[in-house]
Amino acid sequence: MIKYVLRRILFLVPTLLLVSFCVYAIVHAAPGDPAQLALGEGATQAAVEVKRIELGLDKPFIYQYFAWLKNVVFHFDFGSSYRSEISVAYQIRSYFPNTLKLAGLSVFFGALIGIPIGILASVKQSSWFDNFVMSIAMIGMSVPAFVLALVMILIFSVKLRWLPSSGFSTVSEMLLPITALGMQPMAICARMTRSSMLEVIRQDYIRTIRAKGQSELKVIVHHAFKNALMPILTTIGLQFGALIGGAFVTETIFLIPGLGRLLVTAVTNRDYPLVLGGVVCVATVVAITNLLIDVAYALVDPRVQAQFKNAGGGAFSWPTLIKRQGIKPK
Amino acid sequence: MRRKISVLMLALTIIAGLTAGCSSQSQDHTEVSQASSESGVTVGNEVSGKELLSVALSSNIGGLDPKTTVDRYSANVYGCIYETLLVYDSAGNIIPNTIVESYEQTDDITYQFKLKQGIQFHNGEVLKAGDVKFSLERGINTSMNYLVGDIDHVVVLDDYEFNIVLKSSNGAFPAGLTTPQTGILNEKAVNEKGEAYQMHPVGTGPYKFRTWEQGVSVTLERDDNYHDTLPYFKEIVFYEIADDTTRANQLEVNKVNTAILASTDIVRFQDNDDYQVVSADTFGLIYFGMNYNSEKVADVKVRQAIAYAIDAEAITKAAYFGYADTATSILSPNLTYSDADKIPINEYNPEKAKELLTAAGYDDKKLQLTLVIDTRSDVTSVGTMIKALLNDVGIDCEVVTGDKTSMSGSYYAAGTNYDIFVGTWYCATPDVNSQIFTTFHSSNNGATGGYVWMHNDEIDALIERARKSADSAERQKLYSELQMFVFDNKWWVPISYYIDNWGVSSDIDINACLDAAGTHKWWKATVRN
Repeated sequence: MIKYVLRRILFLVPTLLLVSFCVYAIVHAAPGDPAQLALGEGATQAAVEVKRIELGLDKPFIYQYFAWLKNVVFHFDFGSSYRSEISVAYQIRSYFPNTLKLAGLSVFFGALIGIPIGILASVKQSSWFDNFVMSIAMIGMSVPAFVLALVMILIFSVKLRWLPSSGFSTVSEMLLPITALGMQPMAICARMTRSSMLEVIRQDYIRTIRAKGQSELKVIVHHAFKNALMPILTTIGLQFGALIGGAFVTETIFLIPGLGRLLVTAVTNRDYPLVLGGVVCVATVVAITNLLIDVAYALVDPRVQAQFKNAGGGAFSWPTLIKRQGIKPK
Repeated sequence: MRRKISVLMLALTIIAGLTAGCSSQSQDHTEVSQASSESGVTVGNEVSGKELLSVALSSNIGGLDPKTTVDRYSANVYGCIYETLLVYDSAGNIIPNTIVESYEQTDDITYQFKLKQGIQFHNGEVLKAGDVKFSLERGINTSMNYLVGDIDHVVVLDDYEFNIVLKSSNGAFPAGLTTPQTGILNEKAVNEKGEAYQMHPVGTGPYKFRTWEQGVSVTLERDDNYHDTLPYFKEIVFYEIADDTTRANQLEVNKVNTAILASTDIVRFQDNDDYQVVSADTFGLIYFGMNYNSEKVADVKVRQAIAYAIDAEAITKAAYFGYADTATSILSPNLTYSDADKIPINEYNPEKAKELLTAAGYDDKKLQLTLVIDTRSDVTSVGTMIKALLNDVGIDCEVVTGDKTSMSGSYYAAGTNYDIFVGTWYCATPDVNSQIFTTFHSSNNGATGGYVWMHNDEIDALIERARKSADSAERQKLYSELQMFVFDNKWWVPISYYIDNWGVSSDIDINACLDAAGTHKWWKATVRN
């Protein structure tokens, strides 16, 4: 297992290289002159030329990319924003944690509500509760988060004055953005849980467990849910990855200084160092999230764990088992 | 079982490591948190609501060093921190600012200044001529170049006297020294902080920098040792709120007490006794332009026909709900040398448009033009209406649209693949040279502002003469000639002059602050009695 995790972490390096190169190529190819944008409208062409040389934009594209890469690898320096000359690392340190918090808490909220109601809906299939939950899920998936955000601000902040309309420092400030952004993950979790549970609770072994006299609660939670968990974990991982880079509008509405806002501004201004730094962060987090989901699979499903063993994974290797428990191979 | 637990612990450690930055970064930030109350007084700060001015700006604050950031939103903030050498008085004359004892132009290219003694920066350093030399010369060939690019060098005569020597005569130069972008920085502070200076700006202004929560707000506190009249408010917080609805919401819940409003949000506050809507003239306008490089609009009859098809008054009413003025001249009426009161509104006459098109050879075949509009909401509205109006007179428009950056890079930079466009312009200084030179001089054709791509030696010569001259009468004559040239030849059809509308708590008075350049003097804000 440990070897597997280490291998996946090592694999992150070529992944990030490929992602950063592709993003750099795309932003570079997009129309717009970063030097002119950095100086602003009204700059003379002469000043733009000087700025272009200063930023190294007169060099070939490949040279620029490798110059950036060299600074990152050998000096851990992501450079400075073309526009403000503020360090990219500093800006990402300021913005990224807010996005992580927002995405993490939104997905957590979505899972916390979505999974239990999905389970209940599957147990009470075709009942009024099931229909009600699926209708709510449909609304949650259909209504864009920003629409929900604006409506919630109008009701809870402007009219009722119960909750603040912006910020992300206190619990009361977090409630509205997390709810608005978490509705879609909640809806998706509920539907996925229901569908996955319905597949499992119809299996023969579930009937057998019931026949053996186990309580319904234990049948559903301990046996059925555990077997239904894999697709739900996948959904949670995908939702988190999507929210990391995609919460720009929610961040704008609630004035949350997040990476989404920073990246949109950076792309608009063709601020290459900021775009690259942000994308590398997002790619790293998404890759690590996928890794954690894969590890979670092994924890949940013994069949997956066995695959790791058969592949010769370190902690589960025969030499270790012999040493620890005196097990001898047949 | 133990291995499962250890793997689980490993996973949790990774998650905790990723989020560890969250709590520590949050604690590192000094935030101005405000709790709303029904009375509109904000609590939970070091200062009470009556001593706090909170302003919602409509764009991001790019930086606090003018060398890198010259946009007017950032200038609103650092305009409270730095002081300029010159200012405009209420009669529109350029006079020395409070840090300057005397100023005179000794010859065509030399301006002599004497600083007041004993003026201190926020870090305790004394303002000297060396700081001025440093502040101005560092701006050459940077974002500030349009203001200081004509400086050849600054000569320090002694600790408090210096000469600014230009490369050549420039009548517009003193106006540039009134803008916050040419505010004076402390050389020692900039050199000490290096790249981190943006987070530690130091000036001689009435407010000093306190904190900057990236992406959220900048907080300034009053310098109680300020050398001139102390401002009323102890603290100013500038919020970066780009979204119009969010800004209006923040005003309504009293998170801010001053906010610039979009036309659609004004009605929320107009009849509410807790608020007032304060209108402010600007130097900005939205216009319809034609490409000098385009063969299709090379014939003046075609351009005149297009102009006759455009109903600027109706567009202004529809796009801005009455919160803008119909434009006449290419220069805002608030600018020196503008002939906005002499030049008539573009005449709307679709029948005449059709006649001229027929005379130009477009009776059987339809004129087809490529219209560039970017995705800013008012540009899109105006562009869409113009397309429809042109269609009414038999002109087909293929619309190309995208964000402004892409449009600048794809179309304006090349200058060859479009015929007509909708643009906006904010003159950066009260002197029209910064607008005219950038938008009509052939040396600036391209994405920096010369979207018309004018190649006219006579116009170039006229612009250069007006720029160099120190004689107001001569400059007025030359700029009047240019305005009439553009009006007669229809390279620009001005549509609307922008008016800024500020929603303000009813107990606050910002009338003395507002500046048509868009860089407002927030230190002049007070409360109403």
